[in-house]
Amino acid sequence: MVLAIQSKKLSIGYEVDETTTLWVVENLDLEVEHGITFCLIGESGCGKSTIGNAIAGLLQPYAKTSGKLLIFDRIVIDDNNRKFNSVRGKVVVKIPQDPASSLNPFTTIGEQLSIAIKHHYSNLSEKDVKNKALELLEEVRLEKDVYNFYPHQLSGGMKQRAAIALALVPEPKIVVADEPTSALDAYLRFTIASLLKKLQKEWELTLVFITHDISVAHYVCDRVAVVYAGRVVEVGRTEKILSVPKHPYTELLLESVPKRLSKKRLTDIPGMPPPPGKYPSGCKFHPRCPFVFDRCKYEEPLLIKLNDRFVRCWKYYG
Amino acid sequence: MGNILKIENLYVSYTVPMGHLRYGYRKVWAVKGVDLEVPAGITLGIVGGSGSGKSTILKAVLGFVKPEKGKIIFKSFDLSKISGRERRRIAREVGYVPQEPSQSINPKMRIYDVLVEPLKPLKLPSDEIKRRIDNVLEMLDLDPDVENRYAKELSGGMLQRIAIARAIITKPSILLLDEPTSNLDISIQAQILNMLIDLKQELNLTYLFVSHDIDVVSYIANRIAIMINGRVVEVGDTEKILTEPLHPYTSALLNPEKITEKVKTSNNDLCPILTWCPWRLDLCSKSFPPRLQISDRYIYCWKYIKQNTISIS
Amino acid sequence: MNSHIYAVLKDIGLMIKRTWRKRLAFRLACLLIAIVVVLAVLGPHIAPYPRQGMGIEIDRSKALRPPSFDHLLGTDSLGRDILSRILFALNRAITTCVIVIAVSLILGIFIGSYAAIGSRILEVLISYLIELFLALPSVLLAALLSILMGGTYESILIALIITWFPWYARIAYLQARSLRELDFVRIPMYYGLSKWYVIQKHIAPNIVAPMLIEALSDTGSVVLEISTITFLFGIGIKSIEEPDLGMMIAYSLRDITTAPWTFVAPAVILALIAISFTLFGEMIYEEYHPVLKKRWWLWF
Repeated sequence: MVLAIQSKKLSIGYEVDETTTLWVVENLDLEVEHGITFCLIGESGCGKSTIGNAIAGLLQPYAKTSGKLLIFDRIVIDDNNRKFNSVRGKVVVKIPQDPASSLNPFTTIGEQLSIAIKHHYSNLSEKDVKNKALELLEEVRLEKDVYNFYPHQLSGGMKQRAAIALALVPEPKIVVADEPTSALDAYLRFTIASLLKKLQKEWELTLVFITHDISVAHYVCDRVAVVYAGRVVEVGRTEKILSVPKHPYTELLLESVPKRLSKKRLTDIPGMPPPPGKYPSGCKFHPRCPFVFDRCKYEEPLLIKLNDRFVRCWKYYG
Repeated sequence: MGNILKIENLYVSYTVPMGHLRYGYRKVWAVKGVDLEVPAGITLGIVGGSGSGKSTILKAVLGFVKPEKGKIIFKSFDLSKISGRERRRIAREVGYVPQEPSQSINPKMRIYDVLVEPLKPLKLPSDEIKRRIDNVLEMLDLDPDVENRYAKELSGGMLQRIAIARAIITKPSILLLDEPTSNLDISIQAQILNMLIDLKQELNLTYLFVSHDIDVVSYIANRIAIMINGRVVEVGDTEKILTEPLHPYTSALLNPEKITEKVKTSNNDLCPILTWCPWRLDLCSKSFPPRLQISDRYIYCWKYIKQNTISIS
Repeated sequence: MNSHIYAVLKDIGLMIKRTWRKRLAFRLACLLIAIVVVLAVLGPHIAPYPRQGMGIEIDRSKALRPPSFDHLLGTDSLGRDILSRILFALNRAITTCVIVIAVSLILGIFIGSYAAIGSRILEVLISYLIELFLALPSVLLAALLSILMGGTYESILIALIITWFPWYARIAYLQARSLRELDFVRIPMYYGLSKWYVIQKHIAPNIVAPMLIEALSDTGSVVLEISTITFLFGIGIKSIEEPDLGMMIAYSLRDITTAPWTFVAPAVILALIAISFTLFGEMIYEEYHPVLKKRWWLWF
C-alpha cells in the first residue's frame, strides 16, 4: 500500500500581523492511498480548498504552515518550509474551480497544450507535440477542432474538459480537482464527473475531489472526508458515510439535501459555519449541534477509530 | 382556478456577432414556441441545462428582453405588448429574485435603501414604508438591525434573503425566481427553500421557479416543465414526472449517471435530442412535434402522438 | 452618494501615499504642485504690485527693467512687475483648470451614463457626437469656439469644457454600459425609478473612482491647453492686459534678445507647472493601472 498523500498534524494559516496567525486548517492527519478517489466534502469556508491547495503546492507564499505533508514519502511541507518544486505541476496537478480562469483567453486550446507539453517534454518534435495534444483532447472527449478554438468559443463543460486535458500533460500521479463541477449545471456535472472517474481508472491516478455536492461525491469517490471548520470530522468509505452518517454535522448535512420523492421538510442547520479566527472552543460544531453536551464545549474531540470509519465526536467515545 | 400567467407560442432571439472579426450577426433562438400555464397558487418549476432558455422566459416576462413572437398574458394584460407606463404599474405585482445576489444588490447600498427602492414609485406614506420594511425583514427571519448595514458586509445567504424581501415588499401576486439557490451552500439552500415554501403559504403567492437541479425543483414545485434548447418537452405534476417520465430527455435528467456518452443536442428546428433518442421516428427529422395532452401531462414527442392516433383509430 | 465620494477620495488618498513612498519623482512633483497651488491661492494677496498684476495699471517709464530689488523678476514691455503678473496668472490658470476639470467630469459622467441606459436613439446620437468631438483636434476647436464666443477668458473656459467633457463622457459611457446589464441596475428601472435616480445611486458611485483618476492625470494637459490657446491665438484685444502665462510668453518673444527675463520667468513657471502636474497625474494613473509600469508603450 503506497501512500500518495500523508499529512501529520498539518496546520495551515494566514498571517494577519506579526503576532497573530489565522489558522484555517488545524492538525490534519490525512492518509490517502495511491490509486483511489478521495473526496473532501464541506461547505464554503470550511478549509477544503485550502487543503487541496496545500497538497498541490499552491499555497500562497505568505501562508503559514506547521506539521508535515508527504507526497509519495517525500517531505514537501516541514513546518513552515515548503519544497514543492520537484512535485508541483509534475507529480501533483490541480484542476481549478473556474475553468475560465485557468485558460488563457488569448491563446487557442492547442497552443496552450503545446506550450505545456514543450515545457515538460523538451525533446519532442513539433509534430509529436501536436499529436500528443490531440491525444489528450481525445482522452477528454473533445473533438479535434477544439485544438484551434479559443476558450470563449467553448461552452462551460468543454472549457472544463480542456482544463482537465491541460492538467494531464505532465502525466501526473495525483490530481486535485477543486470543485470541478460546481460551475456546471446538474446534468453536465455527471458528465464531467464520469470523465474524471474514467481517467482516474485508466491513468491510475489518485484523485482528490473537492466538492460540496453530495451526489457527485457519492458517484465519484471511494473514500470521503467531511470537513468542518478546518478539521476532518468524519472519514471513511463513501457508501458507509453517506448512507449511515455518524457525525451530527454529516447527518444534518445529508438531511438538508433535497431528495427526490421525499416530501419531508429539509433540515436547516441553525446558525452559520464559523469563519477562521472565530472558531469556538471545544468541538467546533458544538454551537449548532443538536446532541451537544458539556464535554463538547470545552474539549475538542480527537479523531476516534470506529470499525468502519473515523469520527471526531464525543458521542462515540468509550 | 384560473391561470395567473399564460405564455403562448413564445419566441425569443438574440444576435451573436459572427466570426473572429465579429463581422456580421447571427440570430440565435433562445426560446422556441413555448407554451406554459401557471395556475394561481401553485409553484411551476422549469428545469433545464444552461442554454435551455429557462432564464430567458423569465426575462421576457419581466420585459428585460423583447419577444419576437408570442403572447405573455398576466391577469389579462399582454406583457409582450404593453407600454412602459403600464409595465411599471404591473411591476409591483410581479416580483423577481435573480440568481446572483452580489449582482442584484448594489454592494455599496444600505439595506434599507435597497428595500425602499421598489416602494418609491408607489408614493406610500413613510409610516407604511417603515411598516412594510419591518414586516418583510421579520418574514425572512432577519434582524431588524440589518437595514443599517451595507450590502457588501453580508454573506451570500443573507443577501439572497434580502433579494427575496425586496421582491415581496410590493405585495406581488407572483414571484419569478431564477435559480435562487444555485450559488449557495447546501445548508443555506435548505434554509432558503424552506423559507420560500412558508412565504408562499403565508402570502398566498404563485411561484415560477427556474433551476437546473431537478431535485431542488421537485422539492418546491407542484408542477414541472422540462426544457432543452429553447423548447419545452414535457410538463406534468411533480410526482408523476419523477416516477413516470415520458420524454427520453426527462429520463436522462433523472438518471444522469446512466448516460455515459456525451450527448449532443441539435440546434435546428427539430427535436433537440434527435441524435441520441432511442426511438427516432421518421417524423422526428421533419419537424418538432406539437403538444399532446395525456390527462394532466403535456408531452412533445412524435412517439406518443403516433401511439395516441393508433389507439384512437 | 456623498459617502461614496468620501470612500473614493480615501482610496485615492491611499494611492497618493503609496506612490509618495515609492517614487522620488512623485515627491518632487507633489512638492512643486503644493508650491504652485499655495502661490496661486495666495498670489493676488501677496503680489507686490497688485494693480499691475491684474493689468489695470501700466508704467511705461519702467519698461523692460531687468530683475532688481524693486521688481524681483523685472518688468515687461509695459512696465508691469513680472512677479505680480505671474502670481495673478497662476491664480487664473489653476482656478480655470479646476473648474474645467470638475465641470467636464460631472457633465461627462451624467451624459455618458445617460447614453448607456437611455433609449437606443439617444445612445446612438450621444455616442456619435462624442466620437465626432473626439475626432477633431481639441486645441483648435476650443480656440475656435472661444473666439466665436467673444474671445474672453470666460469663453476659453466654456470652450474647454465643451471640448473636454466628451473624453469623460466616453469613458463613463463604456463603464456604464457594462453596468447596465447587471441586475441591480435593471431592477430599479424595472420598478419604474427614473434614470436620473439610477445614475445617481447605482452607476455613478461605481464608475467615479477610475474617472477621478483620469481627471487627476489630466490636470497638466488642461493647464497647457489654456496656455497654448492664449499663446497661439491671443484672446481679443482687451486681454493683453489680463495676466496669463501664454500671453506673457507670446508677448515676450518680441523683446527676447534685449530682455530675456520677460520670457524666462513665465516660461519656466509654465514648464514647472506642466511637468509637475503631468508627473503627478501620470504616476497616480500608473499606480491605478499597474500594467502600464511594465509596458510603457501602452501609454500611447
